[in-house]
Amino acid sequence: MSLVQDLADQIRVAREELPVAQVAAAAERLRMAGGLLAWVMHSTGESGRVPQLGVASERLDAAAGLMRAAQDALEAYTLALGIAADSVPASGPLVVAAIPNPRGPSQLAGWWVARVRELAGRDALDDLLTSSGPAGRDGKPSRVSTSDPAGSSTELLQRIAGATLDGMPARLHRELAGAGPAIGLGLAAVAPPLLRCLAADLVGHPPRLEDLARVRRAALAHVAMLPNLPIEAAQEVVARICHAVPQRTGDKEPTHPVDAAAAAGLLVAGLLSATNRDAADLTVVVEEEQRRRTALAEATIKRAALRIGDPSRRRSAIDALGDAPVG
Amino acid sequence: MASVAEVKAAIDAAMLHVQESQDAVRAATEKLGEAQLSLALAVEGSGHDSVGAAQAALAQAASELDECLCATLTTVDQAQTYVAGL
Repeated sequence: MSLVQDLADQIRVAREELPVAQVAAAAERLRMAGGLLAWVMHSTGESGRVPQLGVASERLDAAAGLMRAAQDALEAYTLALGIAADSVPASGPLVVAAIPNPRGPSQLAGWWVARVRELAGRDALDDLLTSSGPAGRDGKPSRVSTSDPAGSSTELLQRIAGATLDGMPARLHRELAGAGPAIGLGLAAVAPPLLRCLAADLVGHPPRLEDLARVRRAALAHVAMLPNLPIEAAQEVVARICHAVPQRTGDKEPTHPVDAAAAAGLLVAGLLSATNRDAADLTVVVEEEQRRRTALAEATIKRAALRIGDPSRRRSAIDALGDAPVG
Repeated sequence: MASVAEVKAAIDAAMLHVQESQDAVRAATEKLGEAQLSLALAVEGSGHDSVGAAQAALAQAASELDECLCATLTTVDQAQTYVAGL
């Protein structure tokens, strides 16, 4: 083995050793925790006192983007040495899906299922409920029967989009109810960046206030799949994507967290359909969004490089900035 | 309106997830340190821009993980205070 080949091999090992999967696992856990805290905030109305996880999530996302940027830089170096770099295994939804899901019985599971049932219309969901053990004291089934519930919020999003675009409300309700609160509430966290990406594709640029009507028309196409979903929950998400201030009267209750999560799933289905995509294409959209984050992380590194004291390094960083793609 | 017991249960469940997240971040930090070391040994003496960019990105990623951990510790403290006041 030549020296160069040996070096390329060592770099490949270092690239593969980067803890992208661990960071994805940590991010998924924070999303679950964030969903539960959102429920607490909604239930108590004490938004100022309930602990928040926004800063931690942002740091984690930044770390993930920086590691992907490092992998790309090392790949570029290996190519510069004249050796084709092996691709690094994807770290997207598949890795996250492998993280064990602590579903188990929880006090909140009933709360989640009850709200999903309400959104779906009671009769629509009753036939999906089967007793998997002794019935509760009231004789009603004790939990939702789902043979293979989604293992992560991203996977749930894909399943919801699939059921919606296939026009199968019963499957949609079953997927939602079976996911449980920890996975289900995470929809509200994983969907918005993807919605922004899809909306940008629809209107041809990052969605703005003037695109609100068009994006809303496309995104709301399938909200009838949950007949009792308050339309405001979906409109609020669309407004945020287009950087509009959601319209809300002062005395109105905040959006129920389950409504926001379920609405986000249906909106993704609407925009997938409006951009001629199906549920399977969501994986590509997730990868696009990751690439966008990587580009942002690279821009951060270049900004940091500008602060380097060495004038020659400073010069090359400025040159590199000039080469950076615009957009 | 949720009962105090329900709110406490939700906070407990959330903090369990946060704890698992902290474990994952600690494991990631350790693994990242090892990767940085093996990379430094492999590319020692290289002045290539891509190598410099990769090392700067990994150093920044380590700092972000550290700050993430600090932020979660603050959240856990806030949660404990909040639950104590219920």
